[in-house]
Amino acid sequence: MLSAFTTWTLYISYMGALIAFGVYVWWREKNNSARHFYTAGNTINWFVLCMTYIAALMSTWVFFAGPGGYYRGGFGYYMSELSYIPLFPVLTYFVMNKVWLLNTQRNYTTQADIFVDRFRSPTLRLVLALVFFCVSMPYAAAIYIACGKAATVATNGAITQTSAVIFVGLTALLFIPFGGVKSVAWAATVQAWIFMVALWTIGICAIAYGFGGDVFGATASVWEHTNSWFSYPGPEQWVPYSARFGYPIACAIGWTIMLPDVFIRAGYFGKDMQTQRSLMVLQPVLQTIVWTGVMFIGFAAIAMLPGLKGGDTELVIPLLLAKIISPQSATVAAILMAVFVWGTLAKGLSAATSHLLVAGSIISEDILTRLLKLKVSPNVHITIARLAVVGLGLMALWLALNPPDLMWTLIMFAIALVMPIFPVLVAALYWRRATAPAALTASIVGVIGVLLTYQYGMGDSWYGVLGMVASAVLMVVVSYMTKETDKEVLDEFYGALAKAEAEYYED
Amino acid sequence: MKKSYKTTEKWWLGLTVLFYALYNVPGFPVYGDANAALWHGALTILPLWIIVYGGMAILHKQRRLRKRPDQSLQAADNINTDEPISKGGI
Repeated sequence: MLSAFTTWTLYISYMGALIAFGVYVWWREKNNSARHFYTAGNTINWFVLCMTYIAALMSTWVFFAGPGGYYRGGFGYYMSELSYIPLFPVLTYFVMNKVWLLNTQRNYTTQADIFVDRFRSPTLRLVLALVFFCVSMPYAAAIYIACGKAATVATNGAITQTSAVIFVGLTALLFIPFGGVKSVAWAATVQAWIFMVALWTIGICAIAYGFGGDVFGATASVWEHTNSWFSYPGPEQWVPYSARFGYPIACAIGWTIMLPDVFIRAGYFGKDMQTQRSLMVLQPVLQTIVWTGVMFIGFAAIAMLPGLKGGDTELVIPLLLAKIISPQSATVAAILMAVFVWGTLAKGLSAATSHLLVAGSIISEDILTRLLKLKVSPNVHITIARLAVVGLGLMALWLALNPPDLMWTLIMFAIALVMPIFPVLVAALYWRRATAPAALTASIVGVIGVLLTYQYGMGDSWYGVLGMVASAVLMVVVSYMTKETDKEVLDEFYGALAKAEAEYYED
Repeated sequence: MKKSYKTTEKWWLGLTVLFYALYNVPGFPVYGDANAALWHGALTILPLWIIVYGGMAILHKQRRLRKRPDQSLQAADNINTDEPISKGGI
């Protein structure tokens, strides 16, 4: 539908702008510490925080599997989304705002920092670093693949997936090491708008061309011909009770709180408590805008292209453009295909760069600086941080070109894999009796529990719920069985929290 | 004296958990019934959103933030941020 020349022009102009922006931020910010490079050290304003959070949260999933998910899961799947989205302000208020308060006193860089600050266990740092690294790297690689796939689909194979993947991967590699997280956050602010506008434009145009803009007519058609789309468990039995329960919990805890790239945004980025409150208020609204747009595309597809099966459901956007819009207006279809490619790129790059930065911080901060106690000057330290990101970017590119089967499995349960760490975090923030051996046991057994859930074929329905329950139980039981943490350590940690609360709240 | 926001916090959390649990009551709505699914969503998800946003508005009103000088980028940059966050045990 798009020529290879047009698609390459889109790619090159977009990537060129991105690299120029990275260099500009590098020149302007002069990152002088690894913490600033990786987390911006509590300096991000509310608008950028909200937009970079939503951009990091979503992946290219919203252009491929997302509409396909609504196609197969129906409106019940959308209601499951709406059930967990409002939990974000509650979880942020009780958990992430405390993380943010502690960060103002303790200057964390990686997600594991706060756990180690409370439990003082290098072994726990190693375990958490491994878990968070395993979650971040495959994510970045998969996003490169999705960008390549978008180029291939848009050009009917004129651009190979491999060439597009290499181009996107190398561009990201040039972009991130310059400006660090600040350039990623600012670019993501623009990218978030691009992909949201792209989603809604495609959905609205599909209904406009397929049903003359008559949404009620389209609804009546689906109600009559595919009534199961409006009920549980959906047209393809995709949303049974277990998935309706397990999936939203996994999203509320694993996806919107515990995934490393969003954790550092909600916990370490914001410049003040008012910024945190803006995030609480606006994030559910932004998520609803995105998911409603994705649902709308799935709805348009079930109304106009019923009967799709398997992998075809993940290509409902190109199919809608080719089969519904193109016969009526090839120009509009071509423009929308360009919007699809552009949106995929914007979405993919914002998420991939976020994951790469997190993975880089795990290597340079958790492993080299904290565990191996590497002592270097600040300048060498920041160079190591940049090199870590470059190295991991190359590794992600290699993974994208040679994806092992395990990578897809890792992506599938990435949000589940981090769920067992949540009870450890809650215990760290609220319970003085919680001990390091308990945190270690709960993390390890919980993660193994998630692996077993998938091993026995229950992962697609229960995600990380069973592992998280096991982790919560062990956190309590093992804490009571082991020696209490030193009072001095507890006073230092909870004293910092109390001091921050006194600084930021009136009472 | 007990702070008023503490009570609001408990009600906010309790009602959120209650309506989330109501959405997840096993067996409801029955499979294959579109009307039941829509009513079930309207009666559980809409109140959930109202509770979350209503409670958040009350909490933010009760728990006021201190006015602080804007922490400039330069000030943040000057923090020696490469020091390990806690010395003991790491």
